[in-house]
Amino acid sequence: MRIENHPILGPLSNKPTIEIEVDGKKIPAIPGEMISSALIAAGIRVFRRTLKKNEPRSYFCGIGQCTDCMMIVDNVPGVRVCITPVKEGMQIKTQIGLGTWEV
Amino acid sequence: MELEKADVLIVGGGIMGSSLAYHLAKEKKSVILLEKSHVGAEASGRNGGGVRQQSRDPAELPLAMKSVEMWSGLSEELSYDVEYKRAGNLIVARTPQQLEAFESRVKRERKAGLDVRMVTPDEACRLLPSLNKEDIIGGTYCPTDGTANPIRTTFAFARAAKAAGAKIYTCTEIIGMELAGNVINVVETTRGKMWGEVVVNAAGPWAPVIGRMIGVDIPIQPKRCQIMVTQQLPDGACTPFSEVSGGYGWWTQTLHGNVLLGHNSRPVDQYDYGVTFEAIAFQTHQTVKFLPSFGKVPVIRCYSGITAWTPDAIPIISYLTEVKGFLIDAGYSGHGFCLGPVSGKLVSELILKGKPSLPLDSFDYYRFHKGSIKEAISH
Amino acid sequence: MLKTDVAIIGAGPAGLSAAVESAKAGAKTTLINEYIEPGGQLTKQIHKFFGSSDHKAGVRGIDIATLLFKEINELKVEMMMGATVWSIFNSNILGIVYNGKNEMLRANKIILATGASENPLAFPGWTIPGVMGGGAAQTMINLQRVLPGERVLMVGAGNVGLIVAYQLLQAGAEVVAVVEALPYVGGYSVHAAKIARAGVPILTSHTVKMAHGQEKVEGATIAEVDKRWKPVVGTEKELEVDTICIAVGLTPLAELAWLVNCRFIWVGNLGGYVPLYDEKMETTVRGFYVAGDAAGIEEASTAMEEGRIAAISAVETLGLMTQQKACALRMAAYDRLKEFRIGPFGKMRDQGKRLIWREREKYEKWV
Repeated sequence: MRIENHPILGPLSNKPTIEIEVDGKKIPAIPGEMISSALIAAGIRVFRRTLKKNEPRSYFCGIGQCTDCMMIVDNVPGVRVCITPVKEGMQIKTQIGLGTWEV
Repeated sequence: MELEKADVLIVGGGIMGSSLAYHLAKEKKSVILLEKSHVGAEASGRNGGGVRQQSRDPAELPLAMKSVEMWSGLSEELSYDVEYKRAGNLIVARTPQQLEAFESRVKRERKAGLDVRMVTPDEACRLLPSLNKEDIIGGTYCPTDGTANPIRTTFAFARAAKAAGAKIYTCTEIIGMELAGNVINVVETTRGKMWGEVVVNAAGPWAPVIGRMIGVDIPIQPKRCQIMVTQQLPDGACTPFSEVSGGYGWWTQTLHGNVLLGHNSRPVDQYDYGVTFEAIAFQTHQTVKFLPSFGKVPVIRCYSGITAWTPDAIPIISYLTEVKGFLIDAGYSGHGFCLGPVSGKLVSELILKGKPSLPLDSFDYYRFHKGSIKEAISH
Repeated sequence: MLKTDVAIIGAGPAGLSAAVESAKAGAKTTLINEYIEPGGQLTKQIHKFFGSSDHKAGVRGIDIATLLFKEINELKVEMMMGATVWSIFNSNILGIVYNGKNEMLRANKIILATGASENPLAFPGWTIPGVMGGGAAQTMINLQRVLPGERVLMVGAGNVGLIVAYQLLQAGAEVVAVVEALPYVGGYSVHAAKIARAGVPILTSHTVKMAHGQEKVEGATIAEVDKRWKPVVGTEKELEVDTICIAVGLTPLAELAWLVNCRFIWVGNLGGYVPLYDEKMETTVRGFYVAGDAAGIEEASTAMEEGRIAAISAVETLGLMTQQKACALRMAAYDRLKEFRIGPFGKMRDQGKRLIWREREKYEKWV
């Protein structure tokens, strides 16, 4: 949920004018915001799943230090979505384990 | 004077010292292993884990082949998983000269009984799918070569040695050695004075420091090897331990999936564990060139280790004649890991029976004083 | 290779203040920040700071940040935002990944102002989506303007816990409770009073026992703790929450100081391992300074002063400021710092800082 009106920060002036794709589904995003914000604003809570127990993981530290928020972004796994800004047409996928690398 | 005594005093808790301690203790000899920091803290714990028979000095080949026999049962023997696997070893050539040298080497190695063969560029790419065929004109492949976990292996030997009765003293430095005539009668350590009927100098790059304490000059120079580690990659990302001839880079995948990116050791002034930008830049460049699909793979850490090099790049394994009971077992020149198991066995035979079951003549200390030193095998 | 006089790693309050002082003295100053926007934790502080007017008492953190940004722009500080310092070679050459490329920057002086990371607290269910750091929630609501959830349990009543709880209320969430394992509130009472007035219960001697939910947090069990920090059986309470914030302390982020072989010391009440430094904020590596939370956990106001002290000391050694002026400016900064290092908690931090200076001096004598 986006905070449209804030007692100190005022009204939210930036509008969600672009779209990104998450597991095939298109969601709105505000240019320049972090991917994690667009996801949570759209109600997407699970970012990745662990390899051994398939447990859901998500945003935790918010500043790129813990790597709990890793997702596959434009085919590259291990991207910390809490510090990566959105781009029009970005393709984001739920990451399983450490993701797959074509090596 | 309070003197702690043992049949054999070993200086250096790397794989050679630990393997020797194990073999001696198994034969009920009293052993004290002295290590300045921790078992496997140096090259023995920092190397790429390659267990390789191919592409060695001819003198080392029979030892390497015997060692590989021992490697296959090692985890069971030491009751500790050393993560040994026979993933093969691939060396590729870029120039016709290299390929020619490979051909004569393979001929010699096959004659010695090693299962090794030439491979075409296509075959090399089948063995290592991420290999960039562009620069490669051929290679050699040995299927019985493999890899193991260096830290686990070194630790396993020391642990088994201790279980068999050896005393392992870590964080213990040698301060000096006292000679009475031509015999070492006191080894002074930070843990007190000790004595051994035989004193083994297995101190790797520090072997010359130990030698100087009794006025012996040991021609070993330190070289630094820097390694980068990727995050875990899928199985099969780099199955054989692979190398581009000429020091252009080597790659190997651990049991946990991380791929180690390395290249040949370079001379270094002091025992400097730093990681340099030049090495990282070189390694990155080589990896991207030869394994292009690795380009976006995250590197999680870099580290370095110091290896001990003799003028002909093969170890010194011999007694001295000037000093009774002083045995040098060092200078494995960056490729000793494979020889760890067999070295301990042969040196223990040398100590206990006076005669090892495989010839160690080529590793005589006095070869450097004979005038001609063989050219080190260059890849 | 790029070159600069003073490289500052981290554009939070300490780094920003250091950049201003450094550029003011005429040094070529490069400010490097991993996050794409400068400001660090400062731009998330939407509450009014207190202290003397020197400290812009009554001014919000975000507004202090805006003033600093203006000064930085006017002074033409070289900005590298969204840049990661991945290593430092030879104590003065920074490897930086910037805009997808590697850049090497040779700096005469380096100021490490990389702040801190939040401490984790492991309990059954702590990995369920919806459990996050207190600071992480603050980033989300104040910087990103997204609500992490609607019903929040805050774990920890230190300054971060109290302030973020209040800011969650401002953002439109409900803070169901604040639990604090200590028998007293660790943060400033001003902040505690604000949320108490809003009806948020602050339960001291309480902790979170477990989080419930499969794909997201659906509830939490809290319980009283005894003198040995163990949950007391029978005191469990179930709370209906969809978000659990963990605010149980910060730890300095000083890995780059480890990389250049700075000596460290453990100071518990400053967050753990901190580099050794002197009153000029210089570590055991010549030309390498540290400031802000990376030098020990305190607050934004102290970070700004330490950033200034580090920069003043750096430009002094570059010959860009007389010793007289540098001493005077440093003394003034320490005078202002005194205000934050008094009282029951401030005094402990003051002792921590003095311990660091003493140990640094001892080290100097060995070298």
